[in-house]
Amino acid sequence: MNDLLSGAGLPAIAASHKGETATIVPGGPPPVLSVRNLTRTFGKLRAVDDVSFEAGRGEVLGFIGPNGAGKTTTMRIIATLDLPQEGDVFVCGESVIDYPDRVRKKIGYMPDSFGKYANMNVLDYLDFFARAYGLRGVERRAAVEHVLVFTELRKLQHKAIKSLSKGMSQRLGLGRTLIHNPELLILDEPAAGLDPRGRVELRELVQLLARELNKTILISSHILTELGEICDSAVIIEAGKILASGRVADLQKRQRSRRAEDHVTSLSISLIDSTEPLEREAFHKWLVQQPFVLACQESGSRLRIDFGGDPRQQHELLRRMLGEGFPVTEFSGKVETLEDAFMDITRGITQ
Amino acid sequence: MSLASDATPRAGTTTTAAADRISFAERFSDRMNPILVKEVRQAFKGRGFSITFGLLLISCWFVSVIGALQAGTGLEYFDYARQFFASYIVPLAVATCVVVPFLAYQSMLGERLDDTFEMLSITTLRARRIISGKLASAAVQIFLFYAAITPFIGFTSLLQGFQLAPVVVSLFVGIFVALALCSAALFISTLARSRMFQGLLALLLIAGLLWVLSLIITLMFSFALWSMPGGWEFIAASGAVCLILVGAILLLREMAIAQITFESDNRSSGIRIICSVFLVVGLAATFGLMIALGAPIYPETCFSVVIAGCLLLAFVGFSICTEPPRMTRRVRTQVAHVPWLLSVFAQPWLPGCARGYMYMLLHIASFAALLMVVSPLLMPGRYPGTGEMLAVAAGCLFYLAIYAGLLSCLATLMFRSVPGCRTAHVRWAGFVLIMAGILGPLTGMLLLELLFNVHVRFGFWMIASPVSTLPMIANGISGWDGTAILALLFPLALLFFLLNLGGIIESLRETRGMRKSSPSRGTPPPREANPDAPSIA
Repeated sequence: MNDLLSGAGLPAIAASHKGETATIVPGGPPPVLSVRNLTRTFGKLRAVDDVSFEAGRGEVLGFIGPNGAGKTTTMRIIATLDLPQEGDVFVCGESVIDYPDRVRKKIGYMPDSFGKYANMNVLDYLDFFARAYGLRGVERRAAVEHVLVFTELRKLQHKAIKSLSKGMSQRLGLGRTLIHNPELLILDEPAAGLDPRGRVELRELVQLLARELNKTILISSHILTELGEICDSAVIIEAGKILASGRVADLQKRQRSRRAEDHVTSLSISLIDSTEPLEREAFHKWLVQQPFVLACQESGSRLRIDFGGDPRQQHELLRRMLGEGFPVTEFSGKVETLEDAFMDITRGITQ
Repeated sequence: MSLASDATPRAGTTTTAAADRISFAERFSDRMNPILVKEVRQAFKGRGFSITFGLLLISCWFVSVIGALQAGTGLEYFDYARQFFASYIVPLAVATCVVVPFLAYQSMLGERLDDTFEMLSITTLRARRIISGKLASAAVQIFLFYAAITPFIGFTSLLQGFQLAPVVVSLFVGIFVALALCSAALFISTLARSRMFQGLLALLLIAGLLWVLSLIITLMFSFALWSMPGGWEFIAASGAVCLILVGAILLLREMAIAQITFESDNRSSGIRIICSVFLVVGLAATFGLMIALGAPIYPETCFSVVIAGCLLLAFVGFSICTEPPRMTRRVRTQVAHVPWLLSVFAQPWLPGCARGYMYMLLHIASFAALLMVVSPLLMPGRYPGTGEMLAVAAGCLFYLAIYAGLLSCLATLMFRSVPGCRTAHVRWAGFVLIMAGILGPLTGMLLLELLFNVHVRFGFWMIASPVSTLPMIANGISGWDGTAILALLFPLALLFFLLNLGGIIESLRETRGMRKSSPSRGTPPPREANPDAPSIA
């Protein structure tokens, strides 16, 4: 059982045999999303293996894992597009297996690549989906209008979808998921292919949806630095199994404390930008041969090392480094991020 | 409730005033199927419809001008209405029977290729509304093409030799033909998964549409050259054709719906219900009309009706007897809300191979009962060959029961013993078995004759092939007359019934069992028992 499930404050759900929906017994916020022991196999491959987690109202839950970890499969099951072999998913108390029609009214799903009617314009596209969700008359017009305003697509409303940029298309996709005012948004790699500005704008929209509109958001992304900033909690999945889950701060803290227990410190080292690759490689080789250096990996332009010594031994390493003439510009203790936690927890297994 | 109620737009908004003004057209469109609204919008914006519409008008103008010039002053005195009518129908047939069905095919295929279908699937639109919307959009386009040629038909009505009834009936039948082709095109578009298969199906569809077009052109020009049929026989025959076409439209529509419905949902009941209704209405119309008109019941009529019914049942039976034996959890949840007695009576119309077999047996029994009822009315002796026809009809029913039983057994066996078995696998295996049963004896007979010059008239090993045995039943051969072959078929049918008996009983138990274990609506089971939770009444 993962940590998120075993955490305190989870509501006890009692069955109401007369009622139409689940009744949540007071004692905690009701989970908008409850994934229980989900298993999905494709032939012999267990794409999702006994996965369980929950998300409360207004919570942004990051769903993190390498390619082929089972994120999209889980999201498709939640979105009623696939069925599990075992387990179930409840959205606001409704089972996706038994009552998919009810669940569809409560979810908005944005897959990593979604189809668009290329010869439609933005307004017609949103209007069509508003109709498809059963919105009528003034309600439909108002919903379309508000989505256009919210996603800042109003100026482009008469523009053909095929002429929209990637960023604008993603906004349109987000707008489509919002048109019927769902309680749960499932965003699968929404930032994929976006430029830095697009990512920042999308991040702002997601934060606005969660903080101001109280939407529950399940979001998967490869850009973990961004997820760390917007997510309240995260589920780390690999090879179909949940490896860790909990509040982002807790995951990072837990990672720090685990390292502290192991007497391991993370150090970050930067070299001069113009350093030749050969010299960088030589430095890497030299580094792993030094005492107390447990592991060394490149993280962007920096090198991250796991160091097993105390501060005096850190000082000794720095002294030797400079003595060897390596072009070091920065040597610091590293702040644990979601990315670090992810890298430590996952083992790089792909299915 | 919409986003409007709680959204906090970032830019300044002027939404409500604009949103409050809803035109009559929008209010009207609110009542329409959203797919219809979208499709019509897209069709009007697309080039396919506009170009066809323009070409239709141009070709009709061209026909009018050239026809009038050629006829000269004879236009007022000679019988030119038929030729003009036939000439207008040809471009109309191209538009309604080739272009519209192909556009419908492209539209549905496009939804799946462009990944828009998944987006539709998670809205509140169900497969039925999606297919119905596409079909309705095709109907709107057909209506517009008809509207375009109305002035030209009006012009034809002013010419000599114009007959209102055949013209109206022909146009009316044409609508059903076009709609049936659209339904077929939609169904075909849902079949393809791989690109290669899609290309192949597109070619087959185009070939089929062109073949139908060539039939219409031939028919129209034979009308133009000879004469247009009239009288109540023509109207009755047209009515029968329309009835068959309506049945085909509904059945193909239902099959297309089944194709795009998730496997976990009920994909079967719609097809079963439509087929049953079609059979009942078809039989009632045929015999009702004969009784109402006081016409004698000919053996040929009974024979034709039973054979047509058997062909339809064979088509549907192949699909329903190859389904997984157990209902999915989603279907069980739906059925659990139906009163138990009703669900027992509805067994043959619920999904599952054993229930499919029950469905087939029920209809076969109905046909057999019908034959028994009408056989005294057939005036045996007065019409030669009555006995043989009845025997062939009975043989067809036996074969249906045997092959339905075989498919049901095969499905049960495969789903239980082959891990990861899917309906498509069972259907392929069933198809191969049936083909082996039908063609195997014929091939054996041919090989014996070709290689060893041995001429085999009949052997027990040929019993699997109705293609071999039914002509023998019809003609009667020495030593192996119709009764003897039927006597062989009966125990076979009985054997398959016994083999399926377990499945039938299990199906009934499943319906009963789900009542005991069905989850309450929308109630998630508690993950952990919480002794402190207050009980909720």
